[in-house]
Formats: sequence, C-alpha cells, structure tokens
Amino acid sequence: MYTQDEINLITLSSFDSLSYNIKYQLLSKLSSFGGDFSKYENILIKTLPDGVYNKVKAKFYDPDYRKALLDALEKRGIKCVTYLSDEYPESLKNIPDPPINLYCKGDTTLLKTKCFSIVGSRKSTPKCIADTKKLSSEISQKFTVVSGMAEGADTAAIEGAIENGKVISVLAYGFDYAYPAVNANLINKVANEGLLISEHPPKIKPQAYMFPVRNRIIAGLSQGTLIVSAGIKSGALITANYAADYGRDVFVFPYYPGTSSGAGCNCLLKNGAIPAENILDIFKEFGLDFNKPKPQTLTEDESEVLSAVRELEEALIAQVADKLNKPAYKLIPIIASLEMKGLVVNLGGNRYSAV
Amino acid sequence: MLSKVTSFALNGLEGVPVEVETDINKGMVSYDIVGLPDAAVKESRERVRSAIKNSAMRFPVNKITINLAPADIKKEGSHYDLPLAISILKASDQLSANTDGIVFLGELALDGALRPVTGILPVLISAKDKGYTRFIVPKANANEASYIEGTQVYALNSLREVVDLLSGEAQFEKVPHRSFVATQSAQKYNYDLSLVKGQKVAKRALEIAVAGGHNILLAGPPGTGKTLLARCIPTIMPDMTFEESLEVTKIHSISGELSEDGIVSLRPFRTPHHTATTVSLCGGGSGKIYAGEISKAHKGVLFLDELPEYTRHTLESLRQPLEDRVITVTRAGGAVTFPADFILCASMNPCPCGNYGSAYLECTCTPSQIHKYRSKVSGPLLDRIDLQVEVDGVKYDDLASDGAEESSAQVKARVERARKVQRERFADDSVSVNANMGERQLKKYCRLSAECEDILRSAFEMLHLSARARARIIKVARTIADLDGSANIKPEHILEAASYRSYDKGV
Repeated sequence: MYTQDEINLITLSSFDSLSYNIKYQLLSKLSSFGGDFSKYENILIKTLPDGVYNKVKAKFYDPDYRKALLDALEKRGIKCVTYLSDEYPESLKNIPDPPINLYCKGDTTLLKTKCFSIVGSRKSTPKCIADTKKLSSEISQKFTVVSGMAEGADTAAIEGAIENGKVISVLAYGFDYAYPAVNANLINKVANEGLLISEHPPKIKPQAYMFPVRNRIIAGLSQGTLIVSAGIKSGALITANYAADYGRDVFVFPYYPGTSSGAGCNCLLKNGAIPAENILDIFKEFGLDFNKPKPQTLTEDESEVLSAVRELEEALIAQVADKLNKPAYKLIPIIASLEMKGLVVNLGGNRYSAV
Repeated sequence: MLSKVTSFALNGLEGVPVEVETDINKGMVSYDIVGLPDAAVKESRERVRSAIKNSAMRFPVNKITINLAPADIKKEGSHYDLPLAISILKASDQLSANTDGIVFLGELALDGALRPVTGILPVLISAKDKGYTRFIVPKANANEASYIEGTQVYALNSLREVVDLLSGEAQFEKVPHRSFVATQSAQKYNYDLSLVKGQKVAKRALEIAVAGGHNILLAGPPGTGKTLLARCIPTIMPDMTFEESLEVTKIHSISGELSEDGIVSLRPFRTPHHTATTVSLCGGGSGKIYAGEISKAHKGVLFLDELPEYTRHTLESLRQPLEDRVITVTRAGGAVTFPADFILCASMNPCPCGNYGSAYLECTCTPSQIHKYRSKVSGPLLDRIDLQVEVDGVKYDDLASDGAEESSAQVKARVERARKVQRERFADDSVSVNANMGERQLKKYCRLSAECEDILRSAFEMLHLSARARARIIKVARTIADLDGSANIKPEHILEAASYRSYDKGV
C-alpha cells in the first residue's frame, strides 16, 4: 500500500524534533538516499544535538516503531498521501513550501479535482454567512470548495458545498483534536462526505502558529481564492497573500466603507483583487458557464413579500408590514417560509435580508 | 384551673387546629409553654404577660403550664399571643365566657393592642372546612378576612376589646362581607400594551403566549423594551376568578405580602433578581417552609430578566414545576406542596456584547462566544419555553409614534376568545390550556394534514430544530389556530409557530 520510500517519509515526518525545513531538505534527497539512514547523517548531525540525533536514528530503524505508526493511521481511518504519491496534487507541488505529507480522512480523489477556496473571518455578518453559503453551493457545481474549519465564514463555505460532497477542509492540527469544539460534528461530516486533510500527524495539538502556516495549503490547492470577509488583521488576508504569491486569482466580496468585518476585503481590492458580487463574476474569470438552478415556485404572497424585502434591503418585519399595508402577524409565516426556502436570512432582531 | 382555647397552625397552606390548654396550679412560680413552640412562640410569654397587665387585668402568680396540642407538630409564628392570653385569663377566672368553637388569631403588643399576623386567609378557609365559623382576628387583618362567606369574623383593636366582646360588656360589628368583583374592578394595572411602540412581532408572540399559557423568551439588545413588554403580560391575561384569587391570596398571605385590600385581585408579576437562590425561587427554609417566588407568581407571571445570569442550578430547579405546575418542597420535617401555575417570561441579550441583531451597533462576538453564552441556558429548560422571540433591534423610543397602538383590552378580548375555545375543547380533560396538553391530547386535538406534516419536516431540516421542539411547535400552532378561529391547524400556523424557535436554530 505504501512504498518503502513513502514509509521512510511517514517515519521522518513523525519526528517532532525535526523542523519543517530539515524534513523538506530530506524530502528532496529521499529518492537518492532511499532507506539508508547513514546518508541523512550529514544533514541531521549538523542541525541536531547528539542525544536527539541518536534517538531519531534508533527510532528510524526500529521496525516496531514503523509498524506502530502505520497501524495507528489505519486504526483511525487515515490515509497518508505523501509527496511521492500519485495522489499528491500537482497544484501543491508547485508551491515553494509544499507539505511533506497530507494526512487524509475521506475521499482522496478530491485532491486531483479543480479546487477553489473560500475563506473569511470568524466574525462575519449574518448576511455574509448566508451569501457565502449560497455562493459556495454554486461554486461546488464546477469546483471542489476548499476552506478551513473556523467558525463563521469557513463553516458557511463548508456547509454550502457539503451537499454535493465536493468539499475539502484543511485542518491546521492533527486529527485527534477537534477545534473549534462547536464544529466537532461538522468535522466528522466532512470526513464522511468530503475530505479532511492536515499536514500533521494525528497527535499534533492545535497551536496558534499553525493556522497561518496551514493557510498556504488552502491557497496552494486552489485555482482561485475568494475572501468573503476579513477584518484589517484577519487570517484570511494571509491566505489571500499566499494565493497572490502563488499566482492564483484572488476574489473578494466588496464592502461598504467602514464595515469592520470587510475592511480587509476592501484593502485587497485596492491591491488588485477581483471584486466578486456573484457567481458569474467568478466563473467568468475561468471561462465557465453557470447553470442557473430552476427558480423555486413561490406563492403570490411570498413573491410579494420577497420583493418588498429586496427593496428595503435590511427590513424589520414591521417595516415590510407597513410597506405592504398588511398586519405584521400575517407576514410572520410567509417570511418563515421564505427563510426555509433559503431566500431570506434572519439578521437577528427580526430583521431580514434577501439572499 | 384548666382552660382550652382554639387557634390554628399552618402547615404550608393547610390549617391544623391547635388547642391552647392552660393549667394554673399552686406551686413554685413558673410559666412554661410546651408542645413544640418555636422562638416566636416562646417569646410570646413576655408579650402576653405585659399585654395582660397593661389591659388592666392580673397576670397570675402561680405555676402556669401551657400546652399547645397536638404536641407533635411545630408551632410557629406570633399569632398564638391572643389565644395564649385568653386561655390564661380563663384559667385564672378573670374571664368566664364560653369560647368553644371560636378561633383566636393575633399578635399582642406590650400595651395590649392587637397586631396583624400572616396567613389569616388560609386559616379561615381550612377552619371553615373543618366546621369552625367564628373568628377573632386583629383589626388590620379585617379586609383579608372579609371575602369568605359563611363566617363570623370579629376584627378587634386590643385584648381589652376581645375580653369585652367575650364577656358581653361591649358590642362590636362583625366584619362585613366584601364582594370580590367590586375590589377587582377598582384595581388597575400600571402598564398597558399601548405604551409599547412598534415591536409588532413580540406583541404578537405575547398574545399567543397568554392565549395558550405558553412560556416565552424575549431576546434582544439592551434597551429595546423587553422588560416593558414583559410587564404588559398580566394586562392581557383574563381577569382572575374568585377561586384563582383565593389560591393566590393564600400564598401571599402566609408570606405576609398582602396589600391593604386583603386579597390579590390582579395577576401577580414577580421579578426575582438574578442573584436569587434556589430556595427563594422554589420555596423552603429551615423550620417553617416558605413559598418561593414561583408560587407567589401562581396564576400570574414569573419574569426572569437576564436569564443567563441566573445560576444554572437555580434555573434547572424550575424544570419540574414548569411541567407539573406545582412544587413539593420536601424537608426532613415534612413535605409541603405549593401551587406554581405561572407563565414564565424570560429575557436575555442575544450575545455577550448584547448587540447581535442591533440595527445600530456592531456585534463584536464570535459565534462560539455567542454559542457559549446561549448554552448557559440549558436545552431542557429552553425546550420548556415554547416561544422564543427576538424583539426588534431598535430602541423603542426611536420608533415613530404615529398610528395608535392596540391597547391591552383589545388584545385581552382576543385572548379570552381563544381561551374559551380551549375550555370547550378540554371540557373532559384535566388540562385547561394548550401549553399543558399531554401526548394523548396532542394526538386527539392536533391532527396535522399531510401538507402541515411536510412543512413541519422541512422546518426541521432547514432550521436545524431539535426533535424535542416538535411537540412545542404543534402546541403553539394549535394556539395560533385558536386565535385565528380555525378548527384545524393550517400550514401558516405551523410556519408561524416554527418561526418562534429562533434559539434552537443556533447562530
């Protein structure tokens, strides 16, 4: 199942004491060195203290350790797609600092599909969340949607695309952990219906520095990246910078000036990102057509209320009632029905906005 | 010489006759009270001694033994002063009148004046059931004692007057019977729905809550009028019947919280602060078991402002009374059952910063912070709150005040209509409002058409509702149909009911 080289790679990457840079250097020599550890010595001895070096060396040759590593992966249902594997996506090989291994849970064939990433801030407005969900579902017609697992925008992107099963979530930490805890169920769902990947072995705990580093994988996997919301210091901007560095298209939702959860987006716009108001703006860049889904059938009341909500932009039920000259309580069921059909979204405080 | 006088002890809301027996003998001068008296009863010795002396009578200088029978129940409170004094006067031959069948209640001041005591009404009611019809009570308790028909109550000012009445030296008027309806119609609530501008969705939800006896949660940014809305709930509830009023008055009477009128004729509205303890909410205490806030809110509204600020333990203790509508407080000394049939109205901010959903201010909370804040209120408790409604995210004094707002009376008329429909429907059942329907009634009275089932199913999927919300939605839909005058539950009723589960949806 794994070649000897791959097993060497999995073993090497399991050593916490080796930094990414050393692992990457070893990776590039792997094909010529093979399983002969003595050839790694030159690189390792220079960087490691004696004690650590001896430990690493002993473990590297220990067949029990290797077996335990592979068993642990198998027991957890994790498939390790190494840099040397055929399944390893080309798009990631092209970036300057590719992950050595991709620990995968779920459908690994998604790695070879066309990917598009959607990321954003944890503090996104309810309207942004609803728009992201809708857009993500539309994008998943043609692309596999790639995102993180944070609350807010990332979660919305995943929820929008998961129906088609075309979703990859890149975790910043090992699979033994679930962060944020509120998304524990979603993590399992993605593993079952889409693909969950991480560059770290399962036992690695989430730590703050890992998240920005992880963002390079999101950007690297994707042909384009959409930033749906970003404060002025948001982590989504890091993803955008990676994407721009790798020469991928960066799209953003434009925001009204002064919106704090959109300041970063507007900043990207100024630096040349492509404004995306809807799916057509994105597909146009890739020369793709968007197949409009059949519009849902609405009752006369529903379409009347929907157009009133559209006109008012952000409307209290009471305002819609005034506009249509109807008692508010008659509108409550109609708006609830529209909300269930996904045509309006509750912004909190009885305010609604059309999606 | 031996004498016997009757008084009453209260065990919860139940009165138990207590015989006050006094025996005066020759011997060493002493004065003892036996029969499980508490501190207040023991102290009464000194009050009784001074009161008798200061009423121009003699306190016997002999061996005095007083027994409160039955000896195995605890005697608490200050209302034994009067029967003790009368009993001593009889035993020392200063009073020869027949006191059989008369119930004495009252606290004595040192000068012999009668001071008001708590629990007159529950004593009167239980005593009447046990065949006692004649009562002597303090003047200040006259109003409270005036609503029970078929009793002769004398409300007097002092021990002297009591002695004069018993010995026939003076005549006093019996307390005249007062009509409950007259008292009630003279009372008015301080709030009215017409004071609340806008908030149409929340008002509608209040109307549904009251019509079906549902509990309600109001969520909204600070300053949007949640408390004012809650204060209006009693004003749209149907008027209390006399029976309801007596039940409530009994509880308020033993807690010593009755007003001048002596009867609670308006729906109670209780707002315990969020530092309230479990015992203060549910009832209890060492020794005498007191009624808690939930019982004082019986037949009215219990308003818990800032719900997540209450300790979890306190909130969880509400779950069982919310289902059973009574609370049984059990202590080593015995168990007491208090009624607790109230509408729970809770209010909370939508998130820790309070601005989620506000039209003006930006919410600075992350979803997990909001989630954490909301999960302070446990799922099982939230499940018992049928209507979770957000108030409009605007400051209510910012709303244009054009157009007259509906008054409480108009809403009340609709509520009463819906309640009438429910009374007729539940004529053969033990429940009285939709919210209390059990599984059996739900099946019998809330049959859903295929179309409604479809909508309910898709509501579950789209709004991520918990399975427990299902019965709640159907009950609320039944109430909305009743308000609508519709015999069957229609799709729009289900839709509206589902829209009032906003806190099941998550953020």
